[in-house]
Amino acid sequence: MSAQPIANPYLPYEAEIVERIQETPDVFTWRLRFVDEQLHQQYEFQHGQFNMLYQFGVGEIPVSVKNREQNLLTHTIRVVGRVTKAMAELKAGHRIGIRGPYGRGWPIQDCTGKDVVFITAGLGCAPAISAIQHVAECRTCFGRLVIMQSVKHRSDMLWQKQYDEWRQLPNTQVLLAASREKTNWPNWERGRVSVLFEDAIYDKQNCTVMLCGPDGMMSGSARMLAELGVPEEHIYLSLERNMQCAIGHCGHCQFGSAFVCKDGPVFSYPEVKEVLGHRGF
Amino acid sequence: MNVYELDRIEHLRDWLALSHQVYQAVENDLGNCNWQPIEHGEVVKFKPNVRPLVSPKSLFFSEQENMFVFDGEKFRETLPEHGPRVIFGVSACDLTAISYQDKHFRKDPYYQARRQQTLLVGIDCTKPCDGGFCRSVDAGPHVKDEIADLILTPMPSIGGENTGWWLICSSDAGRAAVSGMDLRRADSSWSSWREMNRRHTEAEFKSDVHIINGIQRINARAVPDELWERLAHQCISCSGCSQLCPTCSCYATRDVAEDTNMVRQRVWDSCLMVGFQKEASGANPAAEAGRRMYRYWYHKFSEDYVAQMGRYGCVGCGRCESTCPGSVGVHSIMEKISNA
Repeated sequence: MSAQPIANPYLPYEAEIVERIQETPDVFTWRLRFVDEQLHQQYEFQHGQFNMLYQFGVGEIPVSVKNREQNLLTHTIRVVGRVTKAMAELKAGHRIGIRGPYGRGWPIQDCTGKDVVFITAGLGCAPAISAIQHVAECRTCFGRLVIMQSVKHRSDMLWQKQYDEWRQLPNTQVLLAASREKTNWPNWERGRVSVLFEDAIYDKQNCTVMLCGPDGMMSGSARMLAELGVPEEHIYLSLERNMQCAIGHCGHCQFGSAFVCKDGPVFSYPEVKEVLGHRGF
Repeated sequence: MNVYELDRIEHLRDWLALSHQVYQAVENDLGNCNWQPIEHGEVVKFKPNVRPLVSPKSLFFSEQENMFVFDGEKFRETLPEHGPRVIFGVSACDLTAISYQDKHFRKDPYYQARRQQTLLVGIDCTKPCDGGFCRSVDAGPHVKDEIADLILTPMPSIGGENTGWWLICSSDAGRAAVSGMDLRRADSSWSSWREMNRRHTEAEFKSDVHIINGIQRINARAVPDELWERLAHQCISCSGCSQLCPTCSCYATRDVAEDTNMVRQRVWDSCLMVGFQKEASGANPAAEAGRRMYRYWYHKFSEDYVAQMGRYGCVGCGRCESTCPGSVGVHSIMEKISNA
């Protein structure tokens, strides 16, 4: 018996933090470059995929790829746990580990000619940003572009300028909601994301809807959209789970019989409808 | 298929020990049975029909291991290094679990580094073990050809005395391992004897009505959430069931700094632990014990996994029942959900 070594899927690659942007007091963005130049040039991702980011000796976490800007890989991270707290201390010039990209992204290739609707909540918009940019850059390739984003407070809104730019595009609608805002502001509704549904204009029979946010927000929105006449198979959701391996081995993100890391994180609504309503999976 | 006659099992073990590190389940003074290395020439009797406390799982999927080291310059994988090994005398349930994990970990370099160096010698069980129900989940009592390299099956006994064994070479690796050994070819009667033996053994299993009903109720989504929650009061999250389950494969990773090196480790984990699915934000899709319990048993008996894995996640060894300090091992659970 001779052992046939298999490529080790767990090994990260070193990357350097080229730039660090403090977005809000607890949210920062990294622009990264792989130390290996060839790897940096070859790296490709689909909109909605994620990377495993590793801080030496501390831990590894899944973070969705926000974009590739000026040929640098961009990740936006909220400081919530042990690993992200440590990551927040790193500065430009420091190195981290990356492996990826992983998972199934948004079905952008199937959206040509259709209306495209993004419904996101909080930092849940990060996995959708590159997909929105893709649709925004080619307004004639797709039908209408509708973006609905909700936050708790207006000040939680990231990339406001970017959203304002999108608002100016032809055939495009940007709708914003703040659930805990007490005063009325121009271009803002008060309430959860569903308060925006009435104002959104798109062809319900010929659209793709992409949802990203907390489980409850996504399952509630998907249910309402289906009631409004959007076929369930045209609704997609991006799920978030504890992940430790990203390749379907460690079991933490198991969701029904699927693994969010490799079968998702983007699922069509019919694929996850039953399990999403059932806590524990 | 090459089939030979064997007077003494130890003869085969000793032959294999010439070129392999051999592991066998050995009973200690307390009656507990564990996998231990046996050297060439060692006089340890082979006892058929024993159920080791643990399956050979940890010989492939280590309870704790290093995955890689970053030495300040680069990431270096830390693969286990092994010479050729034999796991000797593995029963059908445990072999079925190994083939299940072979599928799950087919791309895992650590598992495969051990697995590819290992020859499996299976043995047919001739009586049901305490709490075992392999027959009900298509995992025994006899060893299927495709899950072992060599299979031992007893010849008919005379006056209760074993008269010898048939040795079935069920893979190329198995055939190669015994080539050069002085063995008599068996005549063709072995297969009908083996088949008769299987039918006799299967007839001795206790009723499995609760298992069959429980599986049906899990798959019909007929077990109310409140019942899972009530049953879960008995679970103290000790994770004994997952540790002993030969198909459980969940692990957690952790990163530690050792001197100037950064080391990634992995350790066995269990979905019955409250923090198993908890995210950094504090969100926990399975904060309730009942949801975790449903998740565990769903994984063992749902048809949803059959498409991916080719079988149920349970191999009917019954170890979870014997280790559970509450009363939520497989028989207790299936009794309660099938009568609910």
